[in-house]
Amino acid sequence: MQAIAVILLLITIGTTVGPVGAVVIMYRDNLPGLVIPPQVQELMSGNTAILAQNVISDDSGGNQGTADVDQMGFVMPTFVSATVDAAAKTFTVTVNVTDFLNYDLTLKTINATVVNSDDGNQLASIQLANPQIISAGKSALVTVSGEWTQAAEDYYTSHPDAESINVKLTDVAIDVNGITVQTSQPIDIGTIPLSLEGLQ
Amino acid sequence: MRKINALALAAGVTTLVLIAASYFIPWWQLTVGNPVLATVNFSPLNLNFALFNNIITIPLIWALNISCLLTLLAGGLILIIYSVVPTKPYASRLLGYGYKQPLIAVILFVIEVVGLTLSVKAFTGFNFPLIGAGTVGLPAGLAPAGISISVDISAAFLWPFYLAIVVTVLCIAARFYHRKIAKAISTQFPPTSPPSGESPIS
Repeated sequence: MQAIAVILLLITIGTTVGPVGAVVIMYRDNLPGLVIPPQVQELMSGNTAILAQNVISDDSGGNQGTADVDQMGFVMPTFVSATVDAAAKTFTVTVNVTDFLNYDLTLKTINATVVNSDDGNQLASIQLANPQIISAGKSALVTVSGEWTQAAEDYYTSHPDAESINVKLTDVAIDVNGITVQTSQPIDIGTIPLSLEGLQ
Repeated sequence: MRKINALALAAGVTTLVLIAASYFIPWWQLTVGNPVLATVNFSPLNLNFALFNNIITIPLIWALNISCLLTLLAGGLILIIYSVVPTKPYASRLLGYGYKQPLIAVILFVIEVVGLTLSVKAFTGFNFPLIGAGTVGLPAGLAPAGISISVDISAAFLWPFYLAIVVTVLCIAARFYHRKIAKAISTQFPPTSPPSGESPIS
């Protein structure tokens, strides 16, 4: 009976202390590593599987596999094309968006209102034409469509000589993979040209 | 005919099945995003975070998970050994060790999950559900100024958790059944010497 009790006690001690002791010995030269996952350390050093390597190398001047996370940020969308339907008062803008993560992202919604920075009049509303999947480390063409308001037309007709207009975005909401970011403060876009030349 | 404690045998075997299942399927899972961006997989045998399909494991937690795995494994095996020798003098000690392990694991797990949700809410204000799906707003302190962030979140207890409850019920039933066995033995073979002072089940 006593032998059984001792064996059970040894099993309890062995199963409890053994693994913890083994890990402590393994990390004896790097004790913070006990509680900081190696993946987080890799992320902090920029050499991580979370970020797409082709995008990292593009942004880090060809230094494959390493990048300064602080400098990386989001890869800004680049303008590709735009179309205008004057009869329907609608337009589309297509931009090239790059997914810098090593993970497919689904751009579900984009909503925003364009307002005149000078008088605050609403000029147009824009939204994502269709949900768009952006593959890991790849670029995809994202098209947003919009409809301009009577106030925008009035501004255009009342300022025939104006070549550009100062605008900002309000009520911006972007949904990526169910994470919705909304801004309560307007985003200053600056001046955009009023000319339709060059558009398809 | 050799007497066995069938309930303990079932509990021991089910414990081994539970260990195998729990290593791959969490007892409780929290998913962030739709499609999923991140998950928290939580069981006494495996606690990890998956961010963009990358599993993040904390070494110390991993060691505690292995401790729990070995303890449950020992408990399951000892229950099986006990189940075929329930009339031996040392049987009560084996049962006393074996039946407690799943019970402790389930109780600690429930305390940890509830404690995790409550402590996250208390310290960050982030109120995520224990069960169910919803859109949860990030506390103002965690979001940049002028920006509000809301996240689609869902949480659920998965089938290994319910299997763990079944194992626990079987263990408790096995303990009560052992009393019946012990009573039958004492009726059949009344003690000839004074009790040794040990309780039937520790």
